[in-house]
Amino acid sequence: MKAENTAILDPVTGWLILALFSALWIFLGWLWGRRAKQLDEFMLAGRNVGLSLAVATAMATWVTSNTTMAAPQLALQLGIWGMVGYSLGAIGLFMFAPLAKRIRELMPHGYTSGDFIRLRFGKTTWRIFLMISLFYAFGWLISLGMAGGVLINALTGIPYTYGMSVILFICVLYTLLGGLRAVIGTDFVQTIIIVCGVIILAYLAIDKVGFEAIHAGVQKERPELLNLLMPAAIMFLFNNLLFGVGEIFHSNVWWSRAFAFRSGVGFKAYTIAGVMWLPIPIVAGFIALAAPALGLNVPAADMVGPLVAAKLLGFTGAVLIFIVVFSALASSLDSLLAATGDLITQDIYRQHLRPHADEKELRKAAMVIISLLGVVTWLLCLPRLTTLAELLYFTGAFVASTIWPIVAGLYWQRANRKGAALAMLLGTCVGLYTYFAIGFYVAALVGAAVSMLIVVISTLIWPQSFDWQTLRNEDPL
Amino acid sequence: MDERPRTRNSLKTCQKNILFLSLLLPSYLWASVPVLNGPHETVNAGYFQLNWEGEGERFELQEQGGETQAGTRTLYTGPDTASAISGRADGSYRFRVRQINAQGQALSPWSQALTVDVVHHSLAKAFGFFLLGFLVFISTVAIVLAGTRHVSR
Amino acid sequence: MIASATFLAILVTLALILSIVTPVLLFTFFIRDLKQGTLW
Repeated sequence: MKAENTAILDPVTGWLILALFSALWIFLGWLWGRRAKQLDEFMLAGRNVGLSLAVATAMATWVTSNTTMAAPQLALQLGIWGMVGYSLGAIGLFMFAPLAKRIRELMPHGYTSGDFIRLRFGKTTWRIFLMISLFYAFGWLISLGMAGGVLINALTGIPYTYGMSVILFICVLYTLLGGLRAVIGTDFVQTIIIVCGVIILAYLAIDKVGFEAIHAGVQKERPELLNLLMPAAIMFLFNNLLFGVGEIFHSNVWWSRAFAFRSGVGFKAYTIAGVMWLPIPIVAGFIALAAPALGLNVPAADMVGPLVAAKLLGFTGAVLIFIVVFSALASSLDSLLAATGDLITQDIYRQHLRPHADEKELRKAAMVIISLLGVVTWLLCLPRLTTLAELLYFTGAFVASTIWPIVAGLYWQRANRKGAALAMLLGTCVGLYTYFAIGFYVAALVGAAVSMLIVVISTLIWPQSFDWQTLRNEDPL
Repeated sequence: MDERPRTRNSLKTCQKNILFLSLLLPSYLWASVPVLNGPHETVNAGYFQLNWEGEGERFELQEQGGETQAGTRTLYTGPDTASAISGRADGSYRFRVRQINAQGQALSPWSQALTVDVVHHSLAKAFGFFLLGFLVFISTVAIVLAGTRHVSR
Repeated sequence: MIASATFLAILVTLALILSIVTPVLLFTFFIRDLKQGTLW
């Protein structure tokens, strides 16, 4: 169904911007990645990333289409608490800061989050974890690919399939060329673009419409958005927070960065990135509230950001938001491709299929796997299914149920494999049940609560004694 | 208060007029009536999407006075075939759509009206989940802090 | 409990100010890393 009949830019402009920025990302990917011959260089950028790039990459990766497109969407659907709740996603970054430090100290030679779960909780738990992790990775990949296609289509009229294919292809290409170095380097440039773009848009909304008019418009047309006691929004607050914590704690996107940052950088980088990320969803989400004052029809909630931007700024606004969202999409898509590629290379290819593979073979395998990931994502994106946020929120129950197994695994000697496996399984099941029974805004919360209960109880009744040296001694190559 | 019956009356006359006109104007016979779709179940968060199918370039979406609000008002006129409604308080809302031309004149009769019921979750339930989320969050922070302190010792 | 226009204004203005600091800080870090040769 095509709900939106008016593209803001013409396809020629669209293709031009796409070509320009694609060329830029590919050039930068090649420039920064050309020396990455070793596996450590390709997968983990030489394990020596400094503070500025570390902060930027953590921030840019966390600012995804979720922030630039879903923050306005949630502001439109759940109001003030929607955007404030979204900004609580920053808590995940803060909380990962001490974990990143601990991870780097415990596993100086580690590669993936899968490595940790395998060594800490054994193979069965590890396989459950891998399934959750890959399911989430694909959920996110698909939502990013789809967001790319939908956005390009709505802004320029370029058909969905073309836009989606281009953005996937470009990201796969420069990730292949430069590995994690390319990903982290481009993230720095992308962060600057995203933040400046969002600031300009919010400033314009305030300047051209004004708080009074925005407030009056919302109060007239969508009054509940201003209600600080809106029930669904209240449920959403901690759900979103825990969802974010689950995403960051389990996903190899964040673990691979913990391994890649120079010793001593992780804690600082994640903390600063959290502070910097915190205001972005409010600034980006706020512009959605201008829709009623502007007399704008919003055909689909996930398009409200681009629509308001275009209405405010016309042609320039459409170009600006196009560049911002394209950067945001690319900065997450590349990270996710690289980190999921690592996870499959290390945890599936090496640990399951070719235990004796040497470094050269693994380097080659990593490249093939990243390309395959691109192809599979493309195939899954071809049919345009559910709305963007729904697709991503579906994974909430899965990831939130990994929070406690991971935290307990990192700090509690007595946390055990059976408990961790059960916590992930039952947390996911109960969380999914509430997703359908109540709504997307409780699934992660319930998943996390159930898994916490199981981890605590199982640690009390089946205590295991774990030797931390097991993690340290493991040299993956 | 006496708004309502009058509205209903004028609606009736309006429909009669349309019926009458449709006999005279061939365009009314050609134009198909758009079909308005929306949520089938009660809405718990105040937001939902309306979309409609129909031939033609432009449409008019109207909200008809429900329990909370009297009168009929136009929510949208233009080429889009959907509208995301949000921020609605508890209540029953009625919508209808028709095809129009560039001058805003009707090209088709109104679609069948669609009623959407909004019943927000109870605050007790909301705060229950809020409290649960708070507890899980605080416990997680606590074990990370305790763990970090223990390790550095 | 309805949020007032002032509440909205304060919330968004605060967020806006905080986010303006970001690019400035990032560049400061970048130049320091570059000078010390600790970029990566």
